[in-house]
Amino acid sequence: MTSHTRSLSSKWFQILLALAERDLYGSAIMDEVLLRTDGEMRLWPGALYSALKDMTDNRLIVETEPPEGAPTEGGKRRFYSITPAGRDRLASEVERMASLVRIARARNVGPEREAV
Amino acid sequence: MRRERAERWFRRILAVYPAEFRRRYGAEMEDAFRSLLTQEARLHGRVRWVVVWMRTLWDAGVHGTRLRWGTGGADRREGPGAGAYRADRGGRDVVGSLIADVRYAVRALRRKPVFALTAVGTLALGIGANTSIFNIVNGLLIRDMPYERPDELVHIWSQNLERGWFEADIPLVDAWDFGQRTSAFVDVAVYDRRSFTLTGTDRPERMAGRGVTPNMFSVLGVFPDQGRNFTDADGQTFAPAVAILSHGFWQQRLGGDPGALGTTIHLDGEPTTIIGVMPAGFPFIDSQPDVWVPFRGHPADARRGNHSHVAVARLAPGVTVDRARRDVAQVALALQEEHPETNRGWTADVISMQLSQLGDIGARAALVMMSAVGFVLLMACTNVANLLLARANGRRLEMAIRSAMGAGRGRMLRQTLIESLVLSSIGGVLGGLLAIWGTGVIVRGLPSNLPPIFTFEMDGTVLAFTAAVSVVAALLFGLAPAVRSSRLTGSELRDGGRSGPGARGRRFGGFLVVAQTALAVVLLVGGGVMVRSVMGMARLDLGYEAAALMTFSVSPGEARYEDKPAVTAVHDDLVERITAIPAVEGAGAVYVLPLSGSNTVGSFVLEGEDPSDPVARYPARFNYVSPGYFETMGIARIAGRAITLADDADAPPVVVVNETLVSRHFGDGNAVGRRLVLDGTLHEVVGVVADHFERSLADPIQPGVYFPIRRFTGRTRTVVVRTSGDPAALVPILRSAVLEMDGDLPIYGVQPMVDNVTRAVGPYYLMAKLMGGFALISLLLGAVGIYGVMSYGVGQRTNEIGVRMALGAARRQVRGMVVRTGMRRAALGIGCGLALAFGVTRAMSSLLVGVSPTDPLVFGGVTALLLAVAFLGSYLPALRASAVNPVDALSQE
Repeated sequence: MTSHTRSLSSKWFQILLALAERDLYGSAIMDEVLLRTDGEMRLWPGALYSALKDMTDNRLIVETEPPEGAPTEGGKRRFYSITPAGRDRLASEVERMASLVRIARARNVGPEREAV
Repeated sequence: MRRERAERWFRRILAVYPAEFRRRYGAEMEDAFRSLLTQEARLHGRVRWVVVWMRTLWDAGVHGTRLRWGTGGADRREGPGAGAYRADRGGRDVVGSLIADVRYAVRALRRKPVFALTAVGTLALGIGANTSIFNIVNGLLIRDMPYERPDELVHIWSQNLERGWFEADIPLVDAWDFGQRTSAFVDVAVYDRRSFTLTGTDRPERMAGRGVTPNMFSVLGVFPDQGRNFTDADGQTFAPAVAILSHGFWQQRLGGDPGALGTTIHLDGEPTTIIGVMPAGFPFIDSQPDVWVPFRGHPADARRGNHSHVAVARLAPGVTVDRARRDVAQVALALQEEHPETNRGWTADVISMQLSQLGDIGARAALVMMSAVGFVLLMACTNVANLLLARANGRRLEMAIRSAMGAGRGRMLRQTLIESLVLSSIGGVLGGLLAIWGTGVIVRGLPSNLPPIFTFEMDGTVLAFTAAVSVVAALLFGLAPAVRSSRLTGSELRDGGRSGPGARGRRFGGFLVVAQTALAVVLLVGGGVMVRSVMGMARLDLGYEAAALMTFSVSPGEARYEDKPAVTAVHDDLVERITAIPAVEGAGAVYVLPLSGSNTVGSFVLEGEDPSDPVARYPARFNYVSPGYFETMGIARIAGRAITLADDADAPPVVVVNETLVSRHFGDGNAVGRRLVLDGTLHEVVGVVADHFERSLADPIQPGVYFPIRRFTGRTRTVVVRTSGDPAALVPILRSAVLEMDGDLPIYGVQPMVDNVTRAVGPYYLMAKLMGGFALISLLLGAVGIYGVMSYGVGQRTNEIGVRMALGAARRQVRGMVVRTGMRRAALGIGCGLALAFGVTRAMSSLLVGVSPTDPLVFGGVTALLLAVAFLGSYLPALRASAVNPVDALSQE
């Protein structure tokens, strides 16, 4: 549990988030993250693939078979899928963020339009 | 098109990543790079190439290096101690885990401040001593001379094997022949030592000068930074006189005035044009002269057999010193055949300039000191190893737990070694600081006539040495304890770590005691013979009484004193005037003052022997003395009469000789009335004087021949004055006596004779002080080490001692047992040390004066001293052992 109390880097968080919905390959993750962050976060190849490698080593994600009919570029593209551990890690990160937001709200900091 | 090229470049950049990573992800990364370019065009309407490449390079740099060497990177925070995870699985995050190990080591050391301070202090002492001495060795032997491609510079010296003369000055014409008749050298330059009287200024002044061949500065590769260098035209026979000044002289006497170039000064009365100024700090080969003047006249016309020049040559590309030596020797043989009357018996040698300037004694002294400090460091390391060992045994439980929890042996070895490295790094930094001070102390004690090409600033080489010594020290003292503690297994946990290190640990402690005692013996014996040698020098009978003597030199110039009779007359007049001063007890003049560092040598044959047979010639030191010289110096007359004013150029030639010449050549002891052939002329021996030291204290006394100074053809003489009071108080009186006689005659080299003696013994004093200091440090380290090991051993054996006492052993027996163990080890160490010391002092023998390298007093004294130290070091722990209460000791089980 101790490991889950530490914050996840924003890169790892965005990658897990992208994979939470469906299995994706590298450059699709890149596009997805760019889109989701309104062009704020661009993952460059070195950053992306070293993160994918480390996250695989840490068993937060695994390589998986490509979905039916997905573009594999002749098998070159490797697809990644989030593991249950990855999902746990993502959930606890979201919970950590939410608690931060609650604390901030309680102190009247931040946008006021919706209550959690 | 542009994109394709970009993709090609991107493929090249991928080389930054480790091969395995590239194999696995390379193709996909190219794919990602393509999408990135598409994204870029979509976001910005075009590809911002500069941004793309900068980001790509940054991305590859950061992630490539992290993946390769496991450092830095954006995801350091990730995972359950990502670094540790990677280190254990793939061993990639080496740097990260090293940092962790260093942090751990620092924490561990801070928990034991007394241990850490003792270890660091000991190491700082050892490393500091080594760095100080190495700094000197670096300046003398390693650092390049401040000339262009200094490795190519050599000296060509004359040598005469039959007479035993090496590194003698060379005739100008021989040097010229070596340059012309071999292909070994690019060029050969020659200088001689001169001094000039500078007149036409407010007061006459002596200038130290060098006469040089016009190519001197081009051979050295250093040129005047103002004005011009000498040219061949300056060396023509009737060329106008020109001079190049030193920067220092130009600053001090001419106020650094750039307008001085082209102006005229008077050197020995001759108008001389200043054509250049050498760069600031330019050191000439053997000293720091004020002025250089070119030789005028063709070298080939110079007189053969005139050994009074120093030859400097630059080796041709690819030519070794050995090859040059062979070439020169061949030419020397040819010259012997061509000019038998001057060159018979003379050959020549080529020696690297740096080694030649340092001299054999200097190089040997440097190496002896380096070995001595090496031993000091070894002792320091032994002591720290001892401390670490004791501490490692105290940490057995900690290590066993770590081992039981799965830490590998390599991991534990590394951790312990890193602790050693941390200790030695701190010791190294403190030692380096200590060395700044230490070097200063040593440099102040170096001989003042050391050639200026040697300088002693700390440079990269010294820092690298200090770093290397620190690492080696860490391995020396850290390896054994580290290996021992990494051997521990979880089984230690069974008895809670109480069982102690066992016999093997104690054997290792015993080995340390033996090693330390042996090293201490070597250092104490080395220091002992050196100190004895210097004490002997202080008591040495010089053959004269230096205490109340004042000396100075005069050199009447050609302008006022044209011929020999005029020079002789002014010198006679001077001695007479000085003798008349009330405070003066006696005065005399001499050509070469004893212990002034110079020396004239010649040869003679006995009457009736063939002077042309080189084997029958006997070497001797020659000197010229005035009436009253021997009496003033306090050199005893043994037989015959003294030199008188009547012994001039017109009188029959006579000489006085010393006792060594008499005992070597006149077996019956009667020399007075016998005759010697000198320079082809018969000279009658009219007197014999007592032996006295002339060139240096280290050279044995040679046969000496003393000519009447009125037959001397040179201009320069040194006047010796004995006073009843303080010699220094005499100086103004002497100055005014000379000025009264001739207002344009400068006196120089004014110094009490005692200074000459001090300078002669100074380097030996310095060596003795250093060696003595190292010996004391070694004694201290040795005593602490022996006590530490014994005392620790007793602590470990408390149980055993308790059992013995419970079984009836008397306290006396327990004490005896502990003391016997300690003394056995010390005796073994002393034995090994004495054997080693015999070898070391033999290597030092050329540095010793008046003491045998196997001086029984030193060897015996050191043995007794160390036995006493070992006894104390064992007896104190033995007392503690015998005070053990058997019940308490056994209840610890």
